[in-house]
Amino acid sequence: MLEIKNLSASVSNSQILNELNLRVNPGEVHAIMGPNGSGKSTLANVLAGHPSFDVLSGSITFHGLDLIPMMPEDRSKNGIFLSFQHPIEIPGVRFDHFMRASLNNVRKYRGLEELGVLDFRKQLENQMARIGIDPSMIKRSVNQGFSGGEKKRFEILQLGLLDPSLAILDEPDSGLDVDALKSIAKAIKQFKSPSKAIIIITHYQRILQYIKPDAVHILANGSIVRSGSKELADEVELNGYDQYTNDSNSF
Amino acid sequence: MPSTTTSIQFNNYLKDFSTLAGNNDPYQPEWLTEVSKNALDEFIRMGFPLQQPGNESWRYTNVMPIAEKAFAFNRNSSPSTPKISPHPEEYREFSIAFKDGLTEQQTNQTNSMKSSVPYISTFQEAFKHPTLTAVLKEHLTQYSEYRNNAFTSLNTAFIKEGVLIYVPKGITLPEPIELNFTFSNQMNGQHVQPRILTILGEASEATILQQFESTADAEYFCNIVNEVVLDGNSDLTLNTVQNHSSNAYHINTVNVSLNRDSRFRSNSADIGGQLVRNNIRVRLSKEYSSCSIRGTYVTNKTQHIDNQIEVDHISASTTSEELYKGVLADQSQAVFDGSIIVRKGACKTQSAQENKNLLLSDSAQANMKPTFWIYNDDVKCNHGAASGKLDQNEIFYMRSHGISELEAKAQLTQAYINEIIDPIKHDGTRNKIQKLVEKKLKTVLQESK
Repeated sequence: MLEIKNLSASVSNSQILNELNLRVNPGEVHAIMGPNGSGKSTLANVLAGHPSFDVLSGSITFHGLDLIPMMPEDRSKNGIFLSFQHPIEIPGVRFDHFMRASLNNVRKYRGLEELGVLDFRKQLENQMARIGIDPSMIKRSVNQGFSGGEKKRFEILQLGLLDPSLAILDEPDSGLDVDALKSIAKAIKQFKSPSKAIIIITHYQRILQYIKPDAVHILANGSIVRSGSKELADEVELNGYDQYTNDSNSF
Repeated sequence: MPSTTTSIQFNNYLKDFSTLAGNNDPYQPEWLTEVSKNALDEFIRMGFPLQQPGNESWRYTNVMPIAEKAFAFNRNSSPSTPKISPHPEEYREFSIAFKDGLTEQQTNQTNSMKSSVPYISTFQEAFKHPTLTAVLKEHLTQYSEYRNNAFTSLNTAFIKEGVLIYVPKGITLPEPIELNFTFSNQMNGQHVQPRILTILGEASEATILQQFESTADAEYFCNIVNEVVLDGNSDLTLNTVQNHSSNAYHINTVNVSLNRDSRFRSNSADIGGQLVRNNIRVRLSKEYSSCSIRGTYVTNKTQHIDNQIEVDHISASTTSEELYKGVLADQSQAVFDGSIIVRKGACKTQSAQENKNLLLSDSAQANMKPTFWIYNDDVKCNHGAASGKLDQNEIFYMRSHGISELEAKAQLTQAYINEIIDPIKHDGTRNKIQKLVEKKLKTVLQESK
C-alpha cells in the first residue's frame, strides 16, 4: 500500500529525514517510535504533504501512485488521513461546516453522492456517540478552546467519518487520561480492517497495550534504525532510546 | 503652505450649481438657497484637500484624481417629481431608489403629514408641509459643519436634492428603510451629491440600509453626506453596502449626534470603488448614549479605502465600540484613522477600538492610526491594531482534509470577516453582505493565486 524508499527531507533548510525506508501493507498496524526530534512528526507531515517540508530525494508510492508531487488535498481524497499531534485551531470556521465540506470533497472524489445537512448530521452524531463527544461541541469553531483530550477525540472522529485507507496517527495518545486513551484506542481498533493500514507515531508504548502493532520501528536521527515485533516496544520502554541515539549524543 | 487646492477648475461645479438654482421651486425657503450659496463659496475658497505635510487627516489619501477629473452633471432633464403612492393603511416597507443620483420613485409615501407616521421623502416634498419645513430648518447643516470641510461644503451646495427621514416619537419601524443608489454607464464623468437628514424622535427605533450598486465600469464621483440626530432613548442602525464601479470615487460623510440613552450602530461593507473615504463622526452628546461602529472591506488591484472614525465622548457614562476588519489583495491600500475623544466631564466612559487587516499580497498596504484624546481619569479605553497574513498551518490542516487551497483560503478569510457580518441583525441585509463579500473574496483569491 505504502512504500517509502530512501526518503530524505528537510524543513527550513535543515535536513531531518535521512534515507528512510518503510513498507506498509493493507491490514497492518505499524508503530513508529523514537525520541523527541528524531523526525517522527516530519515523516507524518511529509506523508500528508505539508508545503513547509521539502523532499530532497527518495520516493513515496501509495497504491502505486507517486505521492511526492501530489497536493495535500489530493492525498486526502486518495485515502491518506493524518491525525495531527497538535490539531490546529481555526477561529470562526464551525466544525460541522468544515467537516461536511471535507467529507463531501472526499466523497465526490470517490464517486459517492455528497451528503445533505441532515444525512451528514446523522453520520456525525453516530460517530460522536461512539467516541464519547458532547454533540453541542460540533457548532464550535474547529478545535478552538478544546482541551487536549477533546482535540484528540475530534481527530479520531474525523478518521471515522473520512474512512481513509491509510491512517497516520501522530501521537494520538499524548495528553490523554486512561479513560480517554481507552475510548480512542477502541475507535482506532474499530477502524482496523484487512484493506486498511495504520501508522501510529508515538514516543511511549502506552497506546500499544491497547492496539497491537504488527511491526515496531525505531526512528533515530532521521532513519529507521531498527524494526521488530511488538516486543521491541517493550524493550524501548525498559531501556529507553539512548542506545539508538549515540550518534547525536556524541557531539 | 496652503493645505487645499486653489488652482483647480471649479467651472463645472459652478455651472451645475446655477443649473440647479435655475430649477425654480416655489416651496423652497430662502434660508436654504442662502445655505447652498454660502456652501458653494466656502468650497471655492477651500478647494479640495491636499496630501501634504501638516494636513494630517489626508496624510494617506490623495484626492487629486477627483479634483482633476472636473466631474459634471449631464442631466437631460431636471429631477423628476417623485411619484407618490396613495396613503397606505399600514407601513410595512420604505424604499427610495436613486438612479444615477436622481430620485426615481417612492413607495408607500403619504400625502398628508401625521405626527404618528414616519415621513420619508425629498426635501422638495417636505417643504410643502410647514411642520417639516420647521424641522428641516432646525436640523439641516447642524451636525455636518460645512465651513471647514471641502467635501461637505460641496455637497451642501447641492443640498436641495436631499432626502429627509423622520421617525416620530415612539415609533418602531419593523423593516429597514432602504435607500438604493444605482449607477449606470450614463454616469461616466459625472458627480452626485446625495444628502440625507435622519431624525429619530424619542424612543423610536429604525434601521436604514444604504446601498450603492453599479451595473457598469463608469468613472464617477459620489459625495454623500448623512446627518443624523437621535432623540432620547431612540435606536438607529445604519447599514451601508458600498459596491460601486471599480472606477468610482466615493466620499461618505456621516455625522451623528446622540441624546440621552440613545444608541447608534453602523455596519458597513466596502467592496467596490477605486478611491473610497468614509468619515464617520459620532458625538455622544448626552449621558448613557452609546455607539458601535463596525466595518469590513475587501480590496484588490489599486483600490484605496480610507476609514476615518471619530467618536467624541462629550457626556458621562457613554460607551463606544469600533471594529474594522479588512482583507487586502494586490496593490490595494487601506487607511484606518480612529480618534477617540473623552471630554473633561465624560467620566465613566468606556471605549474600545480595534482594526485588523489581512494582507493577501506583499504589495498590499495598511496604514493604521489610532488616536486618543483623554481629558479625565475615570475612563476605560482599549485599542488594538494588527495586520497579518493567513496562517499556513490552518491552510494545511484544511487541505489535509480534502479541501482545496483556494477553498481553504476562502473559508478562512470569510471566517475572519464573519466577526463583522454575523452580528448584523437584519437577515436580508446580513445575507446580502455575506454574498457580496463571498463573491469578492473568490475573485480576489483566484486572481492572487
